[in-house]
Amino acid sequence: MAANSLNPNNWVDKYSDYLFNYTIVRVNDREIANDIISETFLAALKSAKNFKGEASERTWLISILKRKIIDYYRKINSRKGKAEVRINYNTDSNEGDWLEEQVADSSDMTAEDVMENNELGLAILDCLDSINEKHAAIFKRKTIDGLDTEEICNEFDITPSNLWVIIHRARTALAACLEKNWF
Amino acid sequence: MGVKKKNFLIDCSEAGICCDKAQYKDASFSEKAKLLIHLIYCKICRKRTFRNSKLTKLIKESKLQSCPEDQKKVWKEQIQTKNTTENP
Ligand SMILES: [Zn+2]
Repeated sequence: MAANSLNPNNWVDKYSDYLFNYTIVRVNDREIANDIISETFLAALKSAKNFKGEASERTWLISILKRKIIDYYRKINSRKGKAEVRINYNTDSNEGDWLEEQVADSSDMTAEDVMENNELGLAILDCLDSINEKHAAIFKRKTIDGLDTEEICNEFDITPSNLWVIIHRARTALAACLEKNWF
Repeated sequence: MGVKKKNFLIDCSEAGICCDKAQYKDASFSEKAKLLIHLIYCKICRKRTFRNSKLTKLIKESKLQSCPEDQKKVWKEQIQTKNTTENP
């Protein structure tokens, strides 16, 4: 039996935040990001038979996503040549071998800053993967979505003091997880 | 007087929660006051508060976003429909 198997019914719950954050900084548009992720899921289902189980499910999805992002830039480049894009892609490589530079038009951050922040964001999502699923969901609601305590308590049927204990545990675990590379 | 004074002294776990609330600007005036008083004499919590604030800064810098639940629903439906035709 292969080490890793595919479970398409869990893809959205498990990976959509990761895929979305990976994509959004690279295409700078929510609608386009959503479309690219749709295409990625569909392409993944189409080639599910070819999945050998050597990579993790997420790594495999990301490799398909990268190709879809490249396809997107090829399309707009051949149409307009508006953004200057350089892409290096190695088919049998890891995530880090992929380089894309995009001319930033509106912000004063360099492309490098944007990519570093994105890497940090993905590391945070990685760390959240290793804590209790419900706690991670509550943490995301509070921290990323910025919802009110009351709203979250209603959604998850918990008391405010439950919420703060969960947030405390999540933050402690997250800080410990990020410690090595980011603190 | 004695009782009031005691109310303003909190233990480390309560200080931790006050600090978390402060990270989200959810701490009340009295919680902030209690935390500050605690930090005067508790070195461990001073360290923890520094770390917690650093975490807040990192999260902010990461610019993480979550995709809306509606979009997740769309993807789930697409996957289900396609999966039954591709891999019955
Ligand atoms: Zn203390």
